[in-house]
Amino acid sequence: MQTIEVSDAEWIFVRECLDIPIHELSPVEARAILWHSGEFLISQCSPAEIETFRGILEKEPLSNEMLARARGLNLTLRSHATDPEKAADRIAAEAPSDGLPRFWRLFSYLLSRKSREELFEPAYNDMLQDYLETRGQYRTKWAKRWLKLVFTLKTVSMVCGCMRAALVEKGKNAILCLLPGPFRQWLARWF
Amino acid sequence: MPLPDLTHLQFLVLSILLDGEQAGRDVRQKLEDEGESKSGPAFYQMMARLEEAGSVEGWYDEKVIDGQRIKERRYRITGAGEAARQEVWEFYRHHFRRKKLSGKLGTA
Repeated sequence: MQTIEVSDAEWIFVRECLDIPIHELSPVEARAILWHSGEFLISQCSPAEIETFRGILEKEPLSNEMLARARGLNLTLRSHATDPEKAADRIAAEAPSDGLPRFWRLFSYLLSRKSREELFEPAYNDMLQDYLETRGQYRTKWAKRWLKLVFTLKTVSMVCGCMRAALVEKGKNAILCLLPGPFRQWLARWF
Repeated sequence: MPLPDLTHLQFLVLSILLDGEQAGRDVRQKLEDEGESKSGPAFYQMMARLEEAGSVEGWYDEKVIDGQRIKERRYRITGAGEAARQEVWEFYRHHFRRKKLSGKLGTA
């Protein structure tokens, strides 16, 4: 079977315009939907790609439901800007956000700039990635509320972890300053 | 032979990064698989120290997840990092060999 790459922008189009959870679609289906959606995105495909889609669709035609969705997508796409990349940017910016990540970030201002940049920022982005991946798997109201609570607590715990790490670092530096040179060098490598 | 400058955790991280550039969360996951669990801030503090020492290079990459753009910290090992790791590797190999040899002589 041929492998077809689907770009992030295309995933956004499919997800946002058709309201289909990503895990319910294979890359081939996603691409086929996009291709069926009209000339708007065909301009983004190379002739070889178009030929491939044609072959795939001849072998495995889309279901009526998928075709209906594709037509819906076509109408939606036409209402967007003519530049698909810009439209994708706009859709991504308008993607439903519960505002929580912005709220979580506020906790980081309890930290010094260095701790915020070195410790909080990368750890926070990892946690945000976990949150977004988990949120996509649960659709019920209570599951979402529970996730919000859990991830808020995780953020608070992370800020405390950053404070602790920063304090340990400061304490370590203070202790090392008091020690004689060679001993300090020897000990520094084990902290 | 002088004592190595790397801790065992730093050595492990550099060994993981020998496979090529990786996301911080993947490196952390691999450390966890090796039985070295670390909190996010503690892990990134260690990575910041390795960056300061010039052993690794870190940067942010953009990713789109569930329609939202997020940044991901990625790392790659530098030449200095590879050299430091190799030095530690030689140190332990040297001492293990000596230990093995003296053990054999002791039993003989």
